[in-house]
Amino acid sequence: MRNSWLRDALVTGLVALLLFAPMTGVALSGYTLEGHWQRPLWLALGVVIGRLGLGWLWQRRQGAPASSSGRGWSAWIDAHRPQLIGAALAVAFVLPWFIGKYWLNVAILAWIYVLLALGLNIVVGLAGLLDLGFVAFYAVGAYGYALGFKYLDLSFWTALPAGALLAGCFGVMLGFPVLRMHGDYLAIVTLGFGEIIRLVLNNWMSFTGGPNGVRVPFPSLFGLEFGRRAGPGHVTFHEYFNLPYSNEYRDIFFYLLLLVVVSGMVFVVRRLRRMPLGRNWEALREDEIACRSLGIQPVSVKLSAFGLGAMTGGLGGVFFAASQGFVNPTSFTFMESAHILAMVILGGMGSTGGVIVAAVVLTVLPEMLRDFAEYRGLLFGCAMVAMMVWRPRGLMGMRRALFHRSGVAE
Amino acid sequence: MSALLTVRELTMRFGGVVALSGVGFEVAPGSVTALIGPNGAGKTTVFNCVTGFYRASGGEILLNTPEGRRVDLIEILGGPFRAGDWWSPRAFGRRLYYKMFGGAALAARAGVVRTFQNIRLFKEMTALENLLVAQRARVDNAIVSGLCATRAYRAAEAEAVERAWYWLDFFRLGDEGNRLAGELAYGRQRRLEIARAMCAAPRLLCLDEPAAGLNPQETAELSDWILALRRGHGVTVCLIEHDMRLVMEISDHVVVLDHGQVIAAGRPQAVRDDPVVLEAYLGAPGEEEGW
Repeated sequence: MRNSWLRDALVTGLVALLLFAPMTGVALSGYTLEGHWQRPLWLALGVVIGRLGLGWLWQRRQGAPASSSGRGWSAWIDAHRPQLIGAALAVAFVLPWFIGKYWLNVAILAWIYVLLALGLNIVVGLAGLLDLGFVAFYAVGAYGYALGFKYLDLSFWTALPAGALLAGCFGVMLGFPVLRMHGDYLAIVTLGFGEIIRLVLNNWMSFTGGPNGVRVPFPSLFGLEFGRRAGPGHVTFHEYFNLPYSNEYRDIFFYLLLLVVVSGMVFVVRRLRRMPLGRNWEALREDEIACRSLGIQPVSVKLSAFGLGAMTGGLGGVFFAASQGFVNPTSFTFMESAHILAMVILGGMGSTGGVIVAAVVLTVLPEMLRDFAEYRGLLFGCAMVAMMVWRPRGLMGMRRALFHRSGVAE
Repeated sequence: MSALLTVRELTMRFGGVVALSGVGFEVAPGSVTALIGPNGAGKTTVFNCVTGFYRASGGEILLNTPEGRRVDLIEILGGPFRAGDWWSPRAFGRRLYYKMFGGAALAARAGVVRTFQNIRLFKEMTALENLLVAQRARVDNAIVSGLCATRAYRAAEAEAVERAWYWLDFFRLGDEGNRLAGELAYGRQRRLEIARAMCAAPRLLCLDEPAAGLNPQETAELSDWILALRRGHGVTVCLIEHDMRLVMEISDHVVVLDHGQVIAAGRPQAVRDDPVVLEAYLGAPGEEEGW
């Protein structure tokens, strides 16, 4: 056994040497070739060591008993769930006073992504409808607020439900034609839908302002504005409370508001999962034919999933627009959809907690890795591959609801 | 006594292939009717037509509920528009509604619930959740009352869970309630599928080869269960089965199909001794000479 991986490692090293020698061993300097023979040797040595390490890992895996190593960890989380949730919430609530302006903005963005990921989780994770154009609803929400303000003078507080409803309507509208599609076909159509929305926003100059975007006002708190000076007939927050002006109040207020909305959304999603509607979504994901044989109408179940998912996306869009103060179509590209989908898949399809963790990590990590900006994609890809190998069901698998018999002594 | 299910002149064509031609039979309320026949005779096609998964090319399938309602199991699938629809707004509206929202789900709501030859459970959900999903009509489907967990919602939910436990116990699956359906042993998955169908409140329970893959002991239990369902729960059963012992034991009426036609029907004993049936199963004596 040991011999075979030693041999494998040497063969791999030889192949690596052959590959690396022409690539790294010869460098062009001016008009002459310089040999750097030690470089490929070092690289090949690295490969040999890596291969040995892998062999060792595999060996250990095969030798280990069948029980998975992640068990103890997730069991501990299960046992301390309420305390963990409470602690996380408390930390999240006091966080904005400690992290400074830059990280506060990152945190706001992270919570917006959590909102989006929760919405997409309904569509992809629970109902099993692969949606690659989720960003369309995000855009509808954001532009709903921006254009609503521009043309109808909507305030943030009216735009919040209105934008969500508008996005929900778009979700149902998209849902109707794609009802009979599954998997790949559905993915392609939704991808197209996402692009259509973006292109319309980009090209309808007279209405949306095209690539120039639209300005969006910041929300007010019970009529108190957060700017340095209030508009006519308004009072600013710092004047009302006799505080020196600082735009940090604004961000903290926004963060807390977002946190409340996200917490509400988490509650709704968790409830939905235990409700008949949520069970129907999952049943539809598992087997549509069986659903029909039991009298469940796939039409209404799919539409409700699309509609509610889109509504959440629209809510995220309104927040995004308000936090940026400006929207234009470049924020709503396909990459954004892929990013949100990655959060849902990394977090574990259908698992609320996992999706939240994944959304936060995937927003905060790139900020931390700014110094490695060039390698961000690489690291991201590696993380994805590692996840798929070791935890193919996501960071946290979905927990099923357990039922006890009432009235029967166990 | 009028029949619960009436099938008349049922024809099903797939392109040029005629799968069923002029099939007709009746299922009496409270009976166990078996559909038998060699492989490829069209038994599952009949089932798919009756339960709304195929739209029959011709003929009539009517469900007469005990309350006196008559459901046309072909119309609810939403067929193509006919000439008459264009000047009768009522007929047009019905057809449009069925076109958009019709299908097998409506057949199930009318009371025709089926199981499948290849088991179709919701594998990533627990056994109990499988049964909860099936109780579509009895739980509170409204979103708002569910989110607020109103008293009516919780009562409906508790009752649904109670009923699910009842059916799990009925099929001796009581210990498996919180396990994933896909993890259960094969025989238990078969039972769970029947339990799930029972949770959908069927009038006519269509079992597609319920004993396939079961050992003799499990098959014997199955026949007891089917009889108990009929006796104690007022369910009419229609089943496709290859296990002749089971068929002879539990059915009141046997319909034999071959090449898409009914070749014999009647009491189990009569059918068993019918030379036409023997011929269909074993081949005609001297068939080799042929023409």
